[in-house]
Amino acid sequence: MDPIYPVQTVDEAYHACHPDLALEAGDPRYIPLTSVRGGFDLPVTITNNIRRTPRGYFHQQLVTGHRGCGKSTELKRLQARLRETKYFAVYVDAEALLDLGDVTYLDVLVALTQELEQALRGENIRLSSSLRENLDRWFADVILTEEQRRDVERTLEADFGVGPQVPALARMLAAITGQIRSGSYRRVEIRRQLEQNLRVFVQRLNELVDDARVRLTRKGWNDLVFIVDGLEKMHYAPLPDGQSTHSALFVAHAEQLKSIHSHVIYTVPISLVFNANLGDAFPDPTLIIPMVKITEPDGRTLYEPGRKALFQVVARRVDVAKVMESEDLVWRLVEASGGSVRDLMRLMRLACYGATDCIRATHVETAIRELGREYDRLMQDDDLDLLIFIAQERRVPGNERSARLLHLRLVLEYQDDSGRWANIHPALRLSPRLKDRVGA
Amino acid sequence: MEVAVQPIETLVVVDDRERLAHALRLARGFALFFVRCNVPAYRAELVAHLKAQLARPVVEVDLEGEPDVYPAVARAAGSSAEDAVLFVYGLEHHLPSGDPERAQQTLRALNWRRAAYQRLGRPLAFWLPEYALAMVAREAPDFYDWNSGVFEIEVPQPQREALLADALALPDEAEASLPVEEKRARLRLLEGLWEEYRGESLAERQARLQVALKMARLHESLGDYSQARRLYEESLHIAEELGDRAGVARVLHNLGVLAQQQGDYGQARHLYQESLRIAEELGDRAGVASLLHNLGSVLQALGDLAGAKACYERALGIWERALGPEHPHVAIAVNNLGLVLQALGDLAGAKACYERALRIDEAAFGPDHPNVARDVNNLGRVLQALGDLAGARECFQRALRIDEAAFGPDHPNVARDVNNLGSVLWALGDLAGARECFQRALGILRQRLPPGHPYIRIVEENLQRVALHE
Repeated sequence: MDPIYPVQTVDEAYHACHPDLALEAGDPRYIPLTSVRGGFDLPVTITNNIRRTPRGYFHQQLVTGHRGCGKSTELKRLQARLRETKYFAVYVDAEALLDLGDVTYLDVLVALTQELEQALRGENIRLSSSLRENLDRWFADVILTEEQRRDVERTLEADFGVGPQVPALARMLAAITGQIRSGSYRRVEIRRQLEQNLRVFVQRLNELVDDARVRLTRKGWNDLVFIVDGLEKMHYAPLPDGQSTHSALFVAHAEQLKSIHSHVIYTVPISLVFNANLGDAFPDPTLIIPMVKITEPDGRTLYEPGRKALFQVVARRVDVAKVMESEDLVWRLVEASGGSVRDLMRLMRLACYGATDCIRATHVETAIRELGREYDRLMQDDDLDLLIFIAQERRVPGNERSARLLHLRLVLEYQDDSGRWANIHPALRLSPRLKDRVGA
Repeated sequence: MEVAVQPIETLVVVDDRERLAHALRLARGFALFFVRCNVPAYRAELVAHLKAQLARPVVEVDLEGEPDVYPAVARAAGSSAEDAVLFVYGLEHHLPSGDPERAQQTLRALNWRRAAYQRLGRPLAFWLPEYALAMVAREAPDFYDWNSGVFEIEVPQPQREALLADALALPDEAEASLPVEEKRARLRLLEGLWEEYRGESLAERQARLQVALKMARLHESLGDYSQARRLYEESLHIAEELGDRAGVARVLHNLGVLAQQQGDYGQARHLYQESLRIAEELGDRAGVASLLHNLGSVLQALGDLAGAKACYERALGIWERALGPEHPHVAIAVNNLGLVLQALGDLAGAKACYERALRIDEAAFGPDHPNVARDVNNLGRVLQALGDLAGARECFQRALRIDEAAFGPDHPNVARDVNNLGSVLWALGDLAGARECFQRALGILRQRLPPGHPYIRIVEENLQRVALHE
């Protein structure tokens, strides 16, 4: 049972401030932050873009932002808004379906197929049985034999609850993503086969998509949209050719990702924002969900609307007067969060530890100290010079090392009408390795 | 409005043990905690304390020896009470520093399976040492990012000192002959202490130096030379900072031994000479003698037999003067002189040396001491070279009897003796006997030494040679 927000005690405050759960559309804790982080409303912007796309063309949109900035919350709102405007939006949780430690465009395409099949089934829309059988047979011939499939299904049943009651194609797709995700030795083989037969695979896939679109239209839907969330969490690693795993997927294989006959929204790692070639691959500007602006770019002049919005993020969940010794403590946490909602939630949680009747200054300072330790742990000695540069210049040089810092949220991106800037996470300023070199 | 963002001050902070206990009381359903505890020996004490404090069941999962992480955690979660907290130990065993590919696999799996961990619906506290925690933070950032607390438990002073005393108690020589698993367990304790002794005080840095040296020795005896070198280099750095000249000389000496073991004789010579210079400056006669001894053996390996002979003679001179002509150290020097004479082709001279060493050791230790076994072994080798195969066989058999009695049937020295016996049997044309010997030696070495150790290769080659002739 959900509690009544805002909650009244420290124990409830702990549960009300979850760092790991994206809010579903319509949650009472939701605070619109669009005006304090760059000014655009993501669901509105993307829905409009899709509606304005002429028939026969597809809108391909990239979205990015730091881990924990509220991307998933926004994308779930987007899905709800699209459905309201009669677009059949399929939400693909890449994290649940793929191995983000090692992901290729082929895996993404299989995951899209799997989720489409499932979403349509949920709506009682039956795809053309000959197309389904064709694809199933093709997979069986080329990718996984019957025997291999049965083998995989046994694990799937135990692990993910995919039982024999679902149709053959669904089981086949689940088996393939299961194999890809589990990093089994068959993964290499599956990918090799898909790659060798890429043209046929994409063609079969698009036949299915086209069929789905026709059937959706008959049921009163305007069109189909894929929202692929979670891909920004893919593992970051530099590759021998100077590229990274990130650019290998989104730049080198952009054509394949765009080959699907549908509107599609992909989340991309924030590190790619500085990759000049991304704009060539995906011409529509990437939408960035930045951190909440809590100071001006100088890092000192406070920006009250942003601070107040974050205060509200806490106040919607927690009765500040009852749970906190003083309101100032919330302002303190807002500052230490750097405008990251995830970190603000985590700081609240950390401040609960050791607090009995209410959260006092000592608990807040301990929480901030701990966040400082956590960020210190993420930082390597050879990151120091670049972090000092960013702290001074308020901008991120476009190189692979910066990409890593953005990925780990050691460096935060901000945006307003005047443009974009960056700064190091305030928690880093506590690090003994940086403290004396960047100032408070 | 221009207001400086306040500097974050250091207030009195709440102790991490207390915070952890509170976090475990509060958590409901899934929650992720990391507890940094570098020393498992201390963890047990803390866990017992926590269990007594908590009004909910604690289920402990040890990942050591488990093939995979998630299934083990899921199994424990599945059979636990709904309000149970899971303590997960030993993730570091799935993040081996010597196997980056395996470590990466573990980290990726943590990252992609995080939703599966969430579905377990239990608070999970991963207990792990600092290095493993840093790996998880950097390489499985999404998993790590879900944490609701990272608690850093420092071992209290008295416990820490007791553990250090414990870790350093056993002399290196005794430690070298422990079974592999026990060596690894000792290494883990030392790794934890290494993380704990990070302070700047003189006492902490001295402790750190001792810990590093001990770890280096253990890695060396496990045949993991790159880790050993890294740690010796770290020790060197600390000893230099401390201005500990004797320490510097000792580490250089160890690095020389390591280089020699790895076949980098030029480097070994350089290191011994450096160390020798310091030992001579410090007037450390014993150190000088043992360095000359090692320098001799590396010169010998470099083919500078005259140089080697000169070194051994100097070392022998120092020991004879300092310790008297019948001291076991003298036996060691005489033995080596024998080896170089043998290499110079003076087999009679060599034989005389070994016989003198044998006399000294028999008188000093009695007829059944391992040192006697070593002398008899050398004597056997020169007899074999002189063509007295029956005499050689007798020597190796005697060495084997002594070592088996002294160390048990599975000791590396036994492997050495059996291997030598095999080679004389092979020379006598007894192929079956030779094969049996080599197989036994190989069995012991594989059990006692890490895969890829040079001794294993030597015996494997012997065995192949027999197979070729059968």
